[in-house]
Amino acid sequence: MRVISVSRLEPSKRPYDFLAVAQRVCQKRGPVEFIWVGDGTIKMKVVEAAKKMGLETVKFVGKLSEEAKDQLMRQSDVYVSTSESEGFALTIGEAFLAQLPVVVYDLPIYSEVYDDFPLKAKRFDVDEFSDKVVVALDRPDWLQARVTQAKRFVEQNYSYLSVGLRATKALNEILGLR
Amino acid sequence: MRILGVTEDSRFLAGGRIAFIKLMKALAYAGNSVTVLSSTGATVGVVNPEPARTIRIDVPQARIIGPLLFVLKMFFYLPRQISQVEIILVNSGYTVYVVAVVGKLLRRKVVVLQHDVLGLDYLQSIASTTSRKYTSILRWITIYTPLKIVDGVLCISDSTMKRLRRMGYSGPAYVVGNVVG
Repeated sequence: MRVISVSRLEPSKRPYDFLAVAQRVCQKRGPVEFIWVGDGTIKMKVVEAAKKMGLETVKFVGKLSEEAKDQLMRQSDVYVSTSESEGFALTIGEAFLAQLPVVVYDLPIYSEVYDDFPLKAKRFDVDEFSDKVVVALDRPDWLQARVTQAKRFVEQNYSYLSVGLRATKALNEILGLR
Repeated sequence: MRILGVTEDSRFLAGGRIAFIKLMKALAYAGNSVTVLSSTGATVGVVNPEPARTIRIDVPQARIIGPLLFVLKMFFYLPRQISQVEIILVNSGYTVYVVAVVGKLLRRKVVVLQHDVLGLDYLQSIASTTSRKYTSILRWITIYTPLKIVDGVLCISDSTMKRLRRMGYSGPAYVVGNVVG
């Protein structure tokens, strides 16, 4: 089984929480692969911390091409984001398109952009976060309907045409045409 | 509507630039005539902007020289392109100032696409070297101060718009989201 996260390795993304979650999930249900896609300024420190924690199933694959990232996403079972701040969280939408259940901290941005589709854990509570990941790994059938609805929601709200029409309306208003 | 989109690019792939090009493509899908003006950089080949038209200004892929040359060359490209459109959409970044000033001179509406709104303290905290700390100050100034002279802002989320309001921006702002996929 594989858990994936796609993000820059920066303090605001809380990669140490990702490691703590990986540790707890592996303790609860045996080896699960945790993959972090993306580079950043604290990569060396985080990789070192993972080694010290003995997390052999955690991998940092660096930056990938869009195709390689999408393929890895489709080959994963759960998407997680331990980030404490986001402007939009595009990768969560991409995870829904790949039909993955998503686990995040309970930040307002997620409800605003993705309704109630992500599984949310209390902010910075790694124990609750880990429990949600275990649920997502163990009960994919229970989450199937939610994930399917989430995919449809993303396709309807964030397609080229829907974003293009919203932006056109806004630009027309700025031009004073409507 | 005829729209000119302007975005910086560099050898590093940035999500905000991909999102901008996707928005321009989305605007073209919605029936607008769209031209994207950018420099050579990492987004070439990553996102196909068609049906939007693209003009790439050739610049060296170097940290200071690249942006500097792009800005200088834009003074030649912008007047001709701006004269053919009704509105200019510029990606949040160092090009906003130049585009806002030239756009105003040529009496066109200038709108900024705003992604995340980052405080100077945050930009300073992620700057790993002294020179990057200085460039982060310069970056903050060039991104946020021209918002006073633009005609509107498109935000990728409601949170971005709220942060922008808290920073003191009081002009027209709209949430348009991002293209996913």
